[in-house]
Amino acid sequence: MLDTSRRTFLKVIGTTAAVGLLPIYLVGCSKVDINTAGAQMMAELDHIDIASEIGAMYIEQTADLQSATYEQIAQIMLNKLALTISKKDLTALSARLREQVNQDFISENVVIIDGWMLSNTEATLCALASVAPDSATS
Amino acid sequence: MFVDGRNLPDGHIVEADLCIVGAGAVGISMAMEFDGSNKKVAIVESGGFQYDEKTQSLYEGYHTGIHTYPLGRNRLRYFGGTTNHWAGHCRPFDAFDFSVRDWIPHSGWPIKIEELTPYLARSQPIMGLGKYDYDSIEEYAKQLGLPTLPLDENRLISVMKHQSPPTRFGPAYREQIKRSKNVTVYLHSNVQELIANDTATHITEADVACIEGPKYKIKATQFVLATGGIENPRIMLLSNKSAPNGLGNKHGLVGRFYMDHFLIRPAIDISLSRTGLNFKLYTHPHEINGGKIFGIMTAPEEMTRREKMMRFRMHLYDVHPRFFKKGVGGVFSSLDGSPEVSPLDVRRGSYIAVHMTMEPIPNPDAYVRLSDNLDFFGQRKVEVNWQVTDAERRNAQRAIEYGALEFARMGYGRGNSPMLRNPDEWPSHVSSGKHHCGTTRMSDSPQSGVVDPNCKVFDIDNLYLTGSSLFPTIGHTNPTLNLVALALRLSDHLKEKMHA
Repeated sequence: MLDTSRRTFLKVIGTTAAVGLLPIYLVGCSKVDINTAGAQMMAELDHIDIASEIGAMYIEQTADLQSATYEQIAQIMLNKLALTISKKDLTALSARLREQVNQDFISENVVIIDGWMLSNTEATLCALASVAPDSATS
Repeated sequence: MFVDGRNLPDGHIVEADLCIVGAGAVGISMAMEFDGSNKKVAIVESGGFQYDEKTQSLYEGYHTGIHTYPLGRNRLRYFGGTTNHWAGHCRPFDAFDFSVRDWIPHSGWPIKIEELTPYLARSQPIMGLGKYDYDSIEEYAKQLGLPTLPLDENRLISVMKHQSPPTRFGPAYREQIKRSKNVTVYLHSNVQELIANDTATHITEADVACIEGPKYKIKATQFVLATGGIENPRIMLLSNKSAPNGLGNKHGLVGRFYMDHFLIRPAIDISLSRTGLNFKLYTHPHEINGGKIFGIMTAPEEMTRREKMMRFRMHLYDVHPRFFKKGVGGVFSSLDGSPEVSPLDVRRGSYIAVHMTMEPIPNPDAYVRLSDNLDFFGQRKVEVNWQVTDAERRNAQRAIEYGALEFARMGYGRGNSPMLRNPDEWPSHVSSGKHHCGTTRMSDSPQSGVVDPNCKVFDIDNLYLTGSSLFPTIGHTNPTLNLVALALRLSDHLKEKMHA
């Protein structure tokens, strides 16, 4: 139950962030900030504490991520998904993320972390969770 | 009928048309084929109707390669043979298994599946199995109301195995043999040696000894060894009076190419991301069409060719995971489109284990040969040298990758395996299938095999071998159904030859 509530909470955070952008959108700005995009992506992870542990292990074994900031990893994620931080793109984020994870397993774009086979995309998403500021995950 | 060999007078001579050594699945199947014929058949069985420690000890030997199950324990030496403890899983070889695969040295049978298929179908009821159909898993699943896995058929496919009760050949066929007027099983009788003529081209008799009992002989016009993948070569090598290197061993092939399936149990533990999945088609046998069946996964022929792999199969077991105490599947429940978040702690329904069985590469350096240690008859015990190669390890690793990829691609969970963590090492729990094969392989030529396509030993006109020792390659499937089929085929050949 706790896990489901947490998942719901994170989705609410992501959604709230998106809804909070509505006035900006209405005045003509179509972009959100990278932190909000990151929060929305992380909302797709469940058991966020374990996701963070996985992410920390992934960062440890991946030189390119070792000094990366939250914003940089969020941008890496967006690049992987071929999305921008435009509101229009982010409405498709959830579906795009699922599609990309599935595609990773089709194309064997995978990583091994502690004996687990994970998609490159989901591992990077876990890495994002591991460096996220508390405000983004709680 | 049955005769206790211990009650025969010392020096007695049994006269028969056909002498079959061994009363396991093969010997008993052949006995029933000849029951009621005009030929006198003598079957020589080392044990009686029950397990006996002293008789069983005649199977003891030594592992000098990979140490697996003790040789005195992994087979059973009494009426019914190893079917007295077999698991009963049955599936015929695939047509593909008979072909030459250019990436597997020494692969290819001298016969095709079509030559075995009628006998496979005939073997089905002997094994206590239902309708002979191994191709209709989707239809069977539909009838059972169970889902098949939505596998990518370029990678893995679901196929069907049949589950024998399992039939214990001894109890199952004892009455029929007891009533037989032309088939006699000589119990408690151990073949010590086959005696050949001076040129080792014709067998004249078998020397038999009983524990604390008489020695006697069986004279016959045709002889069949049906004692399994380790004992068949042992008897051939022990029979060295007129052939110093053993019968049928001009080219040094008797005992070479020893093979067994590699078992990795589990190969992958899957932490499920989705709740409420139904794996019952794969985890339990189901009654249908007069028998029981269950599903397994294997690689399609096209993928096997593309990746130049050996065959493998995967069973699903609903058993506690070995490789993790806490899963990760639930982290990805949303990403996998699961309506509920799967728990991470290990509880029923949050995991599934994938057990893998893998085909070995025929390897002339893996062998069964005679050691210098003697059994209580003074006969040399066997030394079994089973080996694994890097190519087989890479094959296992690749198969495991496919298993993990598919469970993730289906959105079912994430796989963990020591071979994913450390692909350069075999996991410590690799074991064997106790399927001893390949040691008197069938071939078109005496340069590459011990028996011809009719199971006759090259250059010996009346000695036949049968059983798993003949298999040049062994696919991923269990041998018993296939070796019974081969025995029925040999029976037909001998009936024709003997005008039975």
